Amino acid sequence: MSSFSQFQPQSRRDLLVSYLAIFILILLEHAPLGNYWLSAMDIGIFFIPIFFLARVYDGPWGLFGIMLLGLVKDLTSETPLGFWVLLFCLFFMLSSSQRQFLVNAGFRTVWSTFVFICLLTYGAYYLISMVHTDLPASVLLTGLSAFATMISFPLVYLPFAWVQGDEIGFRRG
Amino acid sequence: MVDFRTRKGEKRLLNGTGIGLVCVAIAALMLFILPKDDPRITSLRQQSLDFLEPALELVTWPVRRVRDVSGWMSNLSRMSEDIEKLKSENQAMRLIVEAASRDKALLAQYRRLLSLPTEADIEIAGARVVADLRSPFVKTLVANSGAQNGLSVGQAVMGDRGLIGRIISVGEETSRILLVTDFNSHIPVISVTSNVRAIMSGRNQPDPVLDFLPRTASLEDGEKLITSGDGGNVPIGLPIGVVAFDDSGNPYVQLNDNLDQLLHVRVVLASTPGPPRQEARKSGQGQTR
Repeated sequence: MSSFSQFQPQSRRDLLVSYLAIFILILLEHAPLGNYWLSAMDIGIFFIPIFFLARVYDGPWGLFGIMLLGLVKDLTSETPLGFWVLLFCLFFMLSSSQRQFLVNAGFRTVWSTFVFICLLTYGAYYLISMVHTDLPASVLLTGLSAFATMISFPLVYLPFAWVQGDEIGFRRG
Repeated sequence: MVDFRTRKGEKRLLNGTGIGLVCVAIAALMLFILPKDDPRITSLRQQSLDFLEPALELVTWPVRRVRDVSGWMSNLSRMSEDIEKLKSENQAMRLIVEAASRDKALLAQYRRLLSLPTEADIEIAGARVVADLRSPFVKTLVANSGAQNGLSVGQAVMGDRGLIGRIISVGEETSRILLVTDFNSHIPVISVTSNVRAIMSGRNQPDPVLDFLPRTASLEDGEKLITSGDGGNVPIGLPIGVVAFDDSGNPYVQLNDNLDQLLHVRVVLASTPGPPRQEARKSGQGQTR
C-alpha cells in the first residue's frame, strides 16, 4: 500500500467520488432527525471530505467544484447565496495550505489540524452572521456546531480514507 | 482518462492561491450584493429543491426508516398503557361529541338568525416532510406536494394537532414551509377565554412569543390560542397551542405540535382573499371579493 505522501486521486473518478460524498453529506444534513438541537445546529460533516480532498488533490478543478457545492448548500439551506460558498472556499484554502505540513503526519496530527481549521471556519461563520442582516448570530449554536463537527471527524474520515485507499487514517501519531 | 495530477512545468493562468482568492471574492460579492428576498432567487431555490427532491428522498430514506421503526417499537412497548388511556378518552369523547352536535345545530340556527356568512369548509391536503432545512438561521421544512396538488403560497400548514407554519414558495412537486418558530413568521392569534388578540412571532427558538399584546391584556397560564384570521392569510379558528410564561413573566406559546417529530403535515387549502375591487371602492359599496 502506498504511503500518504505518494497518494493522489488518480483519476476523474476519484475526484467525482469526493464530490459525491460532499453532495450526499450536504443533503443528509437535511434529514428530519426528530431532535431540536440536532436540527438547530449546522453540523459541517461535509467539511471532512472537503478536508480530505484539499489534502490530497492539487489540481485546478478542486476549488471550482467546492464552490459549486457551496452554492448547492446555499440553495438548500435558505442562507443568502454566497454564505456557504465563501465558507467552503475558505475551508478548502486553509486545508490546502496545510498539505505540506501533513505529509507523513499521523492521524492525531491530521485530526488536530482539522480541529484548528474548523475553529477558524466557524469563527468566520459567526463573524459573517454578525455582520449580515439576514443571519441572526448565535454563539451557543455556532460553538455546538463546531464541536459536533470536530468530534465527528473520525466517523467520516476513516471510512472515507479507507475507500479512497489512503492509509494515513490507520497510522498512529 | 484525464490525469488531474499536477505536472511539473505546466503553465497556468492563475496559481492555487490566485484561484482561491478569486473564488472568495466572488463569494463575498454574492453574499453582500445579492438580495435574499429577490423573487428570482426564491424561484431558483424552489426549482433547485424540485430538482433535488428525488435525491433528498433517497438520501434521507434510511433516517426516516430508522425513525419509523423506533417509533413503532416504542408504540409497541406502550400498547397496553395506551389502550387503557384510549378507553377512558373514548368515554369522555362520547359525551363531548353529543354536546358538540347539539351546539352545531344551535350554531346553525343562530347563524341563520343573524344572517352571518358561513365560513367556507376547510379543505385539507396531506404531504410528507422530505427535508428539514432548519439551521441557526432559518426554520423551514420541505414537503413533497406542490402546485400539482393544489398548494399555493400563503396557505396554512398544520401538524397533527395544530398550526405549524405557512407555505412560502411552491414548485411543481415540492413546497417550502416557514415554521412558526422562524424569525420571519408573524401570525395573528386570539386567546379563546379572554379574547385577547396578539401576533405570534417566531424567534428562531423552540417557542414563539406573543407580540403587540394590549397593555390591559390579562392572559392566563394554559389559555388556548387559535388563529384570529386577521389579515385574511390564515383561516380563523385553527388551533395553535397554549399560553405559558417564562421566568421574567413574558408570555410565549407552547405549541400543540412537536415540530421535531413532524413527518407528515396537513395543508389548509383555503384561498387567500384578494384586495378590494377598484370599482367597488370607488362606488363606496365596500364589497370584497
